Amino acid sequence: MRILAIPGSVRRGSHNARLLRHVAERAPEGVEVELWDGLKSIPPYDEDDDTEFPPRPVVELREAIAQADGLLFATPEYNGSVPGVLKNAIDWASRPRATTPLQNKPAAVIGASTGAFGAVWAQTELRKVLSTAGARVVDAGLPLAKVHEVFDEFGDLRPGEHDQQIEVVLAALTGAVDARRELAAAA
Amino acid sequence: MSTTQIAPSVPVGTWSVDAVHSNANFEVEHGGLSVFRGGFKPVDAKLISDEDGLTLEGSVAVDTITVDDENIRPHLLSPDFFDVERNPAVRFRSTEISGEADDLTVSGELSMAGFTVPVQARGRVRGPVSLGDHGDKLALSLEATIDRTAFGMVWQMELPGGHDALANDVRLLVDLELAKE
Repeated sequence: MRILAIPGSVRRGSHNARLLRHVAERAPEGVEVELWDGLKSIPPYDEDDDTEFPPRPVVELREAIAQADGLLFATPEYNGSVPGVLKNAIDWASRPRATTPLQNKPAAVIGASTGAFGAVWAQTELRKVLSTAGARVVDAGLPLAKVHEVFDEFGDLRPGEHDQQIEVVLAALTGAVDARRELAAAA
Repeated sequence: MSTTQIAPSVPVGTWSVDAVHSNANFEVEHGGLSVFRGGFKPVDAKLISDEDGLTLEGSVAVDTITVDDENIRPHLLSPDFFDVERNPAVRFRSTEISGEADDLTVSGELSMAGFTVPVQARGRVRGPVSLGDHGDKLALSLEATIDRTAFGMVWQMELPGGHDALANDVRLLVDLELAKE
């Protein structure tokens, strides 16, 4: 099973990218969590460019989503919501609407912030955006607050309660993927 | 099957849908103000008239849904609404049909989005008429109002004016042309 992990910030040392690497290291056997680092290359959505031949990074994003069994987003929170760069990528991925690779794609949302609430608003809004785009978004999430205090001197997440919640999120996501496979097999 | 009062103008036999001349549409209030419409096509349906009365069965494939705004369609197919992958069809089966030809009451069960809920429709049946080589035809028109939240479709957004984006009540409008087998 292949899970595409998409961080919502692009800076080097992104807390959310680190969080996803932490998740990848704890993925159960048979589950491969692949970090996608193409967010910065996605151009601003422009309907004039949304043609039969879209920008190459967009093609790669759509293919990466199509080839993944599930999606795991980790988002920070900017001004109480989803970072524009991440929303922009989802807007591209949601098109063409009739053939979006997001349709019925199992997806989970987690998030980390240096604040006290762990990007909980951004996670809620990201779930709304993904659901509206057609994805199957699982309920389980992880608001990881004061994330800068959770990393050790090597930049790794210290063990903690978040690890149990990560297991819950991964179980929900892989469960949705399994259910989808069973449906496809029965069809 | 419960006792039914047979609509007098439905001769005994099996009446199958003429899909070209049949429709299954829905209407839902948008923003507390206007009407948003959509539909499914083709409609599969069969009306059986026998000594026990009338029985109606019908279904549509969810992925045939059409709405005016193509941007909304993937959301309607998603788990927030029909969850097409897990529930590819909408099905109806009557449990009782009673009344007169121009004032029918059709009770039955509607299965949609993983839920099966009793519904009641009102409508009328016209015909039969003979269309020569095309045989005998009936027309059956039905309307029902359902609560979409009973089918797990609880999605909602509040508009700036305070209205809900989408009403919970959804009006179903089914028009069938049926040919005698």
